[in-house]
Amino acid sequence: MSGKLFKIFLIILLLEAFLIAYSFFSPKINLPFLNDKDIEIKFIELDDLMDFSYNKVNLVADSLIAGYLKKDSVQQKDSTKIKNILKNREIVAGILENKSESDTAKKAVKPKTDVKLPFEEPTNNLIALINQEHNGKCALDAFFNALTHHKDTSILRIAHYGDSQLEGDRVTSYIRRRFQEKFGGSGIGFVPCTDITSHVNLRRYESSNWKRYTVFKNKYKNGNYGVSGTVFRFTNNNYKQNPWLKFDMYKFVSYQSISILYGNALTECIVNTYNLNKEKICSDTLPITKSFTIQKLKVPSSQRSVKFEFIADNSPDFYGFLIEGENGVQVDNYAIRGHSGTGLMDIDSDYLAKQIKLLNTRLIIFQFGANVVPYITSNNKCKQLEEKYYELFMKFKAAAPNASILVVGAGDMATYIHGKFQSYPFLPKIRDAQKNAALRAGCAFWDLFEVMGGMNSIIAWTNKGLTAKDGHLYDKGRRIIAKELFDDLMDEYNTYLLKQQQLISDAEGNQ
Amino acid sequence: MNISGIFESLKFSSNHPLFYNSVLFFALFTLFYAVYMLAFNKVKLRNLLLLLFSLYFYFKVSGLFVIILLLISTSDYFIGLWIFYTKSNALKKILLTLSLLIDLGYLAYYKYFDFVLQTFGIENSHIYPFISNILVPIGISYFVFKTLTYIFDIYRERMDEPEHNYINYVLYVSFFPNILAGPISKARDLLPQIKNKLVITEEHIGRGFFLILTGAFKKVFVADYLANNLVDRVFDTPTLYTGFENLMATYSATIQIYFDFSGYTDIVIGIAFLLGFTIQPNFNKPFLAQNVTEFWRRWHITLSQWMNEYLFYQFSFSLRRFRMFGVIVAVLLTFFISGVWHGANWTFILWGCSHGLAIAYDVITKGTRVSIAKVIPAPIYRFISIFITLNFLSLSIILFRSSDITKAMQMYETIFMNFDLGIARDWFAAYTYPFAMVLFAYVLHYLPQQWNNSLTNIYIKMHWTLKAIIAFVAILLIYQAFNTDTQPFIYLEF
Amino acid sequence: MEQDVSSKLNEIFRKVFKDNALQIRDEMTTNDVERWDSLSHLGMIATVEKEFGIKFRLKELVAMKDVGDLRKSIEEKLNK
Repeated sequence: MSGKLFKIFLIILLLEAFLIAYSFFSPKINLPFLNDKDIEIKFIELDDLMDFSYNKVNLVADSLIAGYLKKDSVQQKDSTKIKNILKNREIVAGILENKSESDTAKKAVKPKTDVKLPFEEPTNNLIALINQEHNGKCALDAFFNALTHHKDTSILRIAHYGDSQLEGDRVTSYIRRRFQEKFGGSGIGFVPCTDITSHVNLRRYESSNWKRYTVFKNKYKNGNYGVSGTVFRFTNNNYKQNPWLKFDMYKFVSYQSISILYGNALTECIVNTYNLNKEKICSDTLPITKSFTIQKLKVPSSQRSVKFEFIADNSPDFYGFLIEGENGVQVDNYAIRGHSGTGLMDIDSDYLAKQIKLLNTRLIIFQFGANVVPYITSNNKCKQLEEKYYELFMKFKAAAPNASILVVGAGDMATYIHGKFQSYPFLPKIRDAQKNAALRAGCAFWDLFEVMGGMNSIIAWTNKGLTAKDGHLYDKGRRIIAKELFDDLMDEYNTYLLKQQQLISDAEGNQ
Repeated sequence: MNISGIFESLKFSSNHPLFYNSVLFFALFTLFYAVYMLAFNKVKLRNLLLLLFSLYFYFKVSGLFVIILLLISTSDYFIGLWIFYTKSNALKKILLTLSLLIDLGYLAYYKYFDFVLQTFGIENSHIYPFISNILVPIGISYFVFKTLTYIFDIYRERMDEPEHNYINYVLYVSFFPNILAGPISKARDLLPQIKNKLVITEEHIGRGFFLILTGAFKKVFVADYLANNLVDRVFDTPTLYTGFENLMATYSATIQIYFDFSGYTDIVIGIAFLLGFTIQPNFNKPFLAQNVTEFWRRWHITLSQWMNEYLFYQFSFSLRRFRMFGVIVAVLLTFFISGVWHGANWTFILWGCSHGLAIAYDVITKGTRVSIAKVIPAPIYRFISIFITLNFLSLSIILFRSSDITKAMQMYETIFMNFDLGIARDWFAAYTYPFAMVLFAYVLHYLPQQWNNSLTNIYIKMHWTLKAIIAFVAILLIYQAFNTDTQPFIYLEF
Repeated sequence: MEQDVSSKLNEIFRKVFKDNALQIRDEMTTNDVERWDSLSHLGMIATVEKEFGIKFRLKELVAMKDVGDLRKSIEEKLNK
């Protein structure tokens, strides 16, 4: 036997002995390092070293995704869905009353209302949308009520707040499409004057003298924020041309009118609109005002390319544009990249209430997570997060007494931990914090984390090309999420309608 | 210790294929080596042992695809013998074609079938096959090329004799150190080593371990760190970042891919040394190249040599009467195929073609460049050449690295249309450590090779216990990078 | 005969590789001539084939290691 080979073998053995010994004893060797932080030299825990079994890969996510992708061909029976929902309500009510979940689930489930349905086994155990019942009323009732009684002569709005997941009308556009298909409506709703990212429905160009203020960065000190949490102002620093904005809308965008949202106008502002051929097609004057104003422009319907020129001594506070029809449902995208949602606290409550009322916003959706998750690394921070969100939801509840609030929880996100790509460990707790805050504030909650499949599901979503590893949805992923959210909302809506029917027939029966 | 867990881990698990940087591989290799030491001097026994381990290794990595490996090596074993011994030129040609059909057929099916379907708009149930390794036998591009060197060399009468020993030939193809991602050992380099007794010297021991440690350092400490904290996120979603950030990610990706691939290659060569085998290197300070032609003599050298010897040479030979035009066509064709070889995606194909065009440019302008070089002082000429080449390589890496053409286009658009230098200060503040790592990596790359050689020699001369201690410290250090939390995603606004 | 082949080959080398001072030796390879590399090699071979009126096969070229092998191969073909 070659002596040299034996030497190699000895080196390997000795090396392994050292490593195992280090794992076993785990001495804390600390090196003083930059920023007065000590760096501890760690090695694999002895348990992990000896444990040859594998982490359970998230197989649930794979089957869920397969289901979502096949959804079009499989129609779940409405009745089954409603049965699930009513059963879910029982469970949630149990949670709120501090009963243990297993106790409540073991109780024989009887629907609260006597809905006459063929008895079927629930096929989907996923509790995604929690629309809790409290004193006979549900969180989403205000919205459903508005939907049912909505007249053809006005627009019913849904506000969709979010972060980079939603920016530039992403996700919202798919939700909007579904609502408009079912309830009517056209156009794309709220469009900010400028943004740091591209918009999925139009190309935007602007002169260089615009400034964008948001509740998240570059805060606005001289007035109030728009309902979107943004303010736009121009400066007259270019003597050659007036400030301008241009929107080139994609073919599928059809609308009947364009309005400007603005306030705090100390002087009049003239808005000239030019078309693709640089011809002036109309001129509007924005009157002086202190309060929030929606000014419809004289722009004829469905102009694909519009360039707005602004002439004023002082810039008003602009909040954005509305590009839409005259009726039906509209979904407004209020996304700010990098935002965790809590910045919205900076919107003046009265001003907020006024805007919501004027706009007739009846459902407010909060969808935050991506910018929160990496920073919540302790139970304490979770608790703080819950309180912050509770504060935010209560503020909006007060500002929008006739609207419902729906909170979409953080989806699964992964990072590199201990050499493996895994979900952020605090995600379930973060989801719980968001859920608790929502339920305490009387809001509905949609558990995106569970919809995706829970811990480490993001890996399955990434493998199927639906998301990036950091959790950001790709186009196909956005479609799926929007569809699932909309479908779950509609199931609740159907339940609501049935309940109303029941109440009416009860009332008639009692007469 | 979990006994049933150990048994589980010895079987193939598609979600957890074996890789070099795992505790399991360490343990298996140790057990293997204990027996290898004893069998080393008996060539036949040694080869049998090595073959069994190689096949088991491949099974652990790729499951039942080990059967494909066996099928390909077996058919080429017989075809090689037949080509060598038959007198008929026509039959030789037929056999060569047969081998090509079989080998490239497997390769084409597993790697390219879905891609071809998609290109013609036919949806397949596999949505993104080239992301999931499970559907492709790992390393098939490499071991097919390996076995083809044998067939080609037999056909071209470069081999004095064919391989008569079946075990030897299958071992050549399935040799576990370089089965996964090369270097592509030629039959005429590796087979002689397999057939003969080998000698291990102090140099083998020292260089072997040193390469493994430096390779692991390059791959885990530098490359993986950069991927997770800078490069991947930008390439995943380029539109979330400004042009400046995209450009920084691009330069980082260039050095990251080098450290990743060369680190892996070093580990492979090191392991081979510990077994007594010598495998050709794959890299030689690639970013010192003054033009793209030179780059390919320094980057993925074994692949480049393969392409040169078996493709370019054949094409340019057939087209030799067209002189420079023939050479250019040969170059473009070769690099087109190289692009296809790298992956079943239009991004790779475009990347390959861009390099082909760059070399065509080199060919056409050679005279002019030589004249310019005579006029400009050498160091300046060298510096400018390196700078231009590095930029070309970085910009073409966008194609190589992006998961599809749309993303690549988005990156180009962002860099050239949406640069925004104003964000630079914020970016350096937010990404200080990753950026430091990028600089560190480039500096390491540009250090003289002699320094590396000197360090290696010092290590070779050390006592074996000291070698083990140094290895231990190195692994601890490398593990720290393995273990750090990722840099949070910071979306900078302006 | 031998002399002619060598000097003719020398001329060809000088012309193809644009170096009038070039003097070929049997041990010469691509490393020794500035403009001679894998990209210009086969162009040179094509010129050799044309000037000598011969044709090479791929496996013959692959076996050549230096100028000496090339010269010998040319002579063999001319002597046939």
